[in-house]
Amino acid sequence: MPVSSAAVAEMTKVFENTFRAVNIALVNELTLLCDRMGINVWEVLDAAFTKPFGIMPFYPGPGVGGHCIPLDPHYLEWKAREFNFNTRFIALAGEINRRMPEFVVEKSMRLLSDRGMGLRGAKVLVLGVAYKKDVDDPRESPSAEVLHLLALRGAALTYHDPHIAHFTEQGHDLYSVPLTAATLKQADLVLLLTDHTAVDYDLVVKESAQILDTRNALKRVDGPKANVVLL
Amino acid sequence: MTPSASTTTPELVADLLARIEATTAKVGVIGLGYVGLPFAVEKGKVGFKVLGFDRSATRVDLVNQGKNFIGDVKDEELRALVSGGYIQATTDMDRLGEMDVLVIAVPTPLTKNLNPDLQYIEAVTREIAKRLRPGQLISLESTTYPGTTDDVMQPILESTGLKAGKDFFLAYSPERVDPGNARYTTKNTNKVVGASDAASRRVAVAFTARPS
Repeated sequence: MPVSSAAVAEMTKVFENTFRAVNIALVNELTLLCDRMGINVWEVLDAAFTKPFGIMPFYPGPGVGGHCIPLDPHYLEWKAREFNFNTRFIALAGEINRRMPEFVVEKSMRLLSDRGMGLRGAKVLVLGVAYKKDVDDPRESPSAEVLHLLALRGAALTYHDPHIAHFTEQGHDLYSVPLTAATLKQADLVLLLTDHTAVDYDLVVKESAQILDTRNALKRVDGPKANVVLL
Repeated sequence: MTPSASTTTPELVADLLARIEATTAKVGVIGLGYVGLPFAVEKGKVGFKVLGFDRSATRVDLVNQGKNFIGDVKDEELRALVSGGYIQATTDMDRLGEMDVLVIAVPTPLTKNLNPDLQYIEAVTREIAKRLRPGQLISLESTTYPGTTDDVMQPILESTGLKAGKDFFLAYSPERVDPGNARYTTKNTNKVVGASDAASRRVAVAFTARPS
């Protein structure tokens, strides 16, 4: 697709990634509201995306990651300032998306609290540290921020990721533990942050005391799931 | 034809178009990450001789041994292209001057204060400028703000005395790589190509369209 200048092509690219960041922020904001209202946001979205026109699927999660979506819109935001222009959608999307790790930690605290526990000393097993499913890329992963916030509050952290054996983002120094009945059983909370395909989710549901699923990954598991809470 | 400073723009365009059509144009890909390596593989597969440039000797050695390190690249494809002589890699920036087409796929991070950090694009552009010669196409793939190609890269390249659109060609053709996406890959995702003069647009569009 030829366009008439380099600037048009540059704006096209940065718009594409901004479009994604803003729409993810929109479903993330809806998630925050649905949490307060006691409505299952995933059910809402699945229903909404049955409309064949005028809507496009985007899903909430523990934040945005990778080299593109968290970073690129800020390139445009910076350039706009030269023209005395504030890109308000970009700023707002960044604000909402960067808040999601805090929301995940807050909801984790609530779940532990309901069982008479606090985060301090709680054994939390994080499932997935890659920034999205089925990649081995930890860059800008929201898992890094979630782990950071959990560590600040004194949680005892372990993680499992089939694609990342050693996690060193944001100063972390953690090694993936094998996903076994024993590692799942010992965890006070299993926090599912990346929905990799190569994870035995039947085992996760069967052996975990409590799971916070931030990706609706356990949708694929049949049978009773009383121990699963969605973001 | 060996282009020189006295070669006219139409001759330079015709020469590069012919090399692109015949896949005899030498293609340099700067940055062998999740954008650059899949790009090198796709151009190698249509018959271009691709030389990858990277600061990391580790990456360069892996490529030269045919060993893949990027999830979206198929191990056996890279191995076959390297053993067939279609892909090589180097850390030696002096070889930039040998290339007919230079594709830049380097990181564009943010500073701690969320400002654009163009240090990699600027450093690579200066390396190219040191060896710039008439007839070369320089194409940027990295995501960036509008104005980077014309306002940041072009002045560095023109500090050589050569002019964009006249002596060399300058374009922006952004990567659309979605890591882990099995359905849409570097091969089957449409590309946008922009250039601010007709000659650059013509050669850049021809180069982008070559694996069609």
